[in-house]
Amino acid sequence: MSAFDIAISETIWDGKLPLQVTFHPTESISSARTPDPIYIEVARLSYLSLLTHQLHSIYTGLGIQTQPENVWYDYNGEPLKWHFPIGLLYDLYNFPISQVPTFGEKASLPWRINIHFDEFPIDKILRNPTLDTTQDMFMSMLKEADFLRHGTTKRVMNMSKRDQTQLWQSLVQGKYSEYWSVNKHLLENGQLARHIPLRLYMPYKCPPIQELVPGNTEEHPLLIGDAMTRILPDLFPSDDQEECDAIPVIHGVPLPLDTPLGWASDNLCFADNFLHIVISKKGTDNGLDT
Amino acid sequence: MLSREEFDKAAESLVIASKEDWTLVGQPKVFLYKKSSIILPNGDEVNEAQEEDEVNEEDEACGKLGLSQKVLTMEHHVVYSATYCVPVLYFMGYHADGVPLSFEEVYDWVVPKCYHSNLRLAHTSVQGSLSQTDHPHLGMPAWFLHPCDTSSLMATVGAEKLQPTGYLISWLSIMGPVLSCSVSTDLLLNSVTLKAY
Repeated sequence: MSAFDIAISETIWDGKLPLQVTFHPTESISSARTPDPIYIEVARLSYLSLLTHQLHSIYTGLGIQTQPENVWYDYNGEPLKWHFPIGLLYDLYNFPISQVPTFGEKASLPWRINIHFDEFPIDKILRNPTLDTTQDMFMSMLKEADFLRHGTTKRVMNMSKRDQTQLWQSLVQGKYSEYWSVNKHLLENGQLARHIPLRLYMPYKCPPIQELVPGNTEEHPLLIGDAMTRILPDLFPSDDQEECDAIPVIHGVPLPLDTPLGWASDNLCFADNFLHIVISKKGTDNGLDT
Repeated sequence: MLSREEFDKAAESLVIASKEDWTLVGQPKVFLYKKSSIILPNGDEVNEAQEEDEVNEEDEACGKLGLSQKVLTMEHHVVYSATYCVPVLYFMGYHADGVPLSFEEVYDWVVPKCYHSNLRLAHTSVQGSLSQTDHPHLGMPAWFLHPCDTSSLMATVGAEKLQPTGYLISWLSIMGPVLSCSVSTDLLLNSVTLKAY
């Protein structure tokens, strides 16, 4: 049984990213009249649609009418997926597996993104980035993690309305202990997970990779390297990091291949109880030389 | 529930039985793909052009192909869910100019009225909730029916006892109609001939 490490869990919860949010001119607001960029710190575990909610009062105060369903963000011209955690988005652009011409430099800090209020790219990103839709998507991921770990979605489906609201609101407001007082019942530490909720992310245009990864048995504790070799055998031919060209990255930190998988799942997961891991390349100019 | 191998085999059989209405795409993980179009009368455009017409004149105008009618392109994809071990129905719809359909347009023109009351209330029907996500193979936005209840639904109708191809076709006949994707009698009869059940 893996141990739950509160110190690590709280550190991840408290992980922040500084952003510079620049207003992109619209039809009604030309470049000459756009407000100055806003500098703001966001939780890595949060979502861009929640950032919109935070920025709403600032832009309204500047006389700019905003409809959350029309608001979207780009980084270097690429629309950002508002339903991915912000920390995952930043790592996707900061730790690329190959040099993509548009992204010649890695993303530096503060992360410079642009906010748009019109011309929503409906063919590139999901519609309706409101609080309600984000909550629905979050709950859907939580259900999937529950199903993977326990073989049913009972724990999530049987949550009281009060618990559901507390879980969501504590994520929106960044309140760790209120979040975990509900989430610990979903993780049910006393039982070994059937499968590990895990998604791998490759260069930015590639859809996330998800395969069934068995959880631990008492006899055979699995490592992160085992999962990587199972899913991406060409990039991770063995669990010896020296022999692999690629490195898994989570929350901006390289993940050693000998990390116990069950422990990682309990302690390093995002708010939706999934491990969202970016696959990066060793030896590029991203500080990941081992 | 189906394993991925069972899904792959069932998908191949379905392609054969459908006489290539459906095709198999993707490597190495395959999914089923069907493109079709629907023609809808465009009542609004007709009304603008003929402000005070009789009802029967409007009906006649709607019956003709041309500017008074909308052509929508639909794509239905059947993708295997590694998590829930069931097929999942994805849908993408476009106007003639390539602009994707909005949520409202999907409800108005693709989802039959009999499903509306449940879907509009909680975006959920017996077949599952309708929402948008990234297509798992193609990455772009697509509508889908959430698979978390599919397994128990299929067990309820006794489909778990069928061979994989029979399961897949039964599944499609239950899910498909919600998004205007029906199973023709021919497909069913051809698959029986293939001894798929």
